[in-house]
Amino acid sequence: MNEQVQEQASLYVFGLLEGEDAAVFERRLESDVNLRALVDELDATAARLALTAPVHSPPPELRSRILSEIRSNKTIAFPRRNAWVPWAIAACLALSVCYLIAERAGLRHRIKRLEERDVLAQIQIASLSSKLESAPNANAVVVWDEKKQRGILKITRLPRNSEDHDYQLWLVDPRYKTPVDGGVFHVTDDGTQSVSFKPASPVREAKGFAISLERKGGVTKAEGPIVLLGK
Amino acid sequence: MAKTDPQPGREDDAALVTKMKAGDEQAFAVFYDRFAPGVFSMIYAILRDQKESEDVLQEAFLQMWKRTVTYDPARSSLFTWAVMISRHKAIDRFRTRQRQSRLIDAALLELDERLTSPGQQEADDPFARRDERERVRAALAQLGEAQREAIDLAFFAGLTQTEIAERLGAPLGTVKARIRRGLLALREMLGGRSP
Repeated sequence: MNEQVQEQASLYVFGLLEGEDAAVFERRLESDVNLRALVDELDATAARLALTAPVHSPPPELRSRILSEIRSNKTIAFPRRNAWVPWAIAACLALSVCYLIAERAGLRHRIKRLEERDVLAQIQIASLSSKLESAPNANAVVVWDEKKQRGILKITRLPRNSEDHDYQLWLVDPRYKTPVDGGVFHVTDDGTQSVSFKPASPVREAKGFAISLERKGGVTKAEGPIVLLGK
Repeated sequence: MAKTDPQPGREDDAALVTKMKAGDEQAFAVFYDRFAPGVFSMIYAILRDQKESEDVLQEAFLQMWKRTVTYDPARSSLFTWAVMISRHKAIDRFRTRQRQSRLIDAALLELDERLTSPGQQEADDPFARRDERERVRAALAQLGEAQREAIDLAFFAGLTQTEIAERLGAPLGTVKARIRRGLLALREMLGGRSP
């Protein structure tokens, strides 16, 4: 096996082959038994590097949480077939702060650190993660200024919407039965967008943000599937 | 032939996986106890954040539970399987965090402009085997510093090829060659099997 192939195999094992290079390599991998064997061996070698990480133990309660999770046989994937379900969850999001604190504790911790060090302390920052199986890496950030009732939404890697649909931003405020309309937008071919928004009704306590895919022009009450959700 | 290293006094990978595939939660608990502490150390080394590391460990183990049927003992040991799935998730999280940090920075800038201007499991934990840990460290020490740095960044840092080259101040081709030579040398020194 020549050096170039060995090099590609080494990079592949570390996840350093990208795009077309990775696709070409994986196609070859499917049919080349020797290459498969080399990659398996390099995988095993690379995995042992994990042994060199300084010891850092997971908390005991995490074990209980994970075992409890598999016992309850919960599905992690967001239910997408019933459009009302995400909104029920969004409502829970508004009502059950404790649940969300536990759910996204890591993110909150990080955001809190950012907020603490930020001079714009009154600004709320929310990170929205993808609920799309087809675009799991889509994400967005909302920077919300409650005092001024205005915010900025920045999105990456969200699939472009069709001509007869728009994406619509929603703000979850427990004072309202349904999320507040934050306006519609579309994304560019590269999946990015940056928009300034002002909610249709005053939002005093933004407990969460969601983006759904709606019919062109938007709706007053969400109907379509949620594509991004977070707080 | 399965790439498992028999270890006296414990079930081998294949037996454990057979039980897990049958939905045996107790087997999964054994699997967790065996691998979670070491996997968590690796995840933490990548993310440097306790809470995020816990999230990723949970995601990784739930995925392994759901996808036990995809594990092929002929291709890798359980150790390799667990490490590589977890590492992949940690690197994904790391890159998402980078993207989100860039988004947050950009959004803040824009807003500014627009609005304001476990100890008891050690016996069963392959990560806790000091001899193996020392072997890997010793093997790494045998590499030249340049190769060692390249391998370390490739595994733990979540960087792209180009970013690794920039970090090391070396041409991309040189960095690729260092990673290849380093990994192949480690394979020779450690063998192609996992603990």
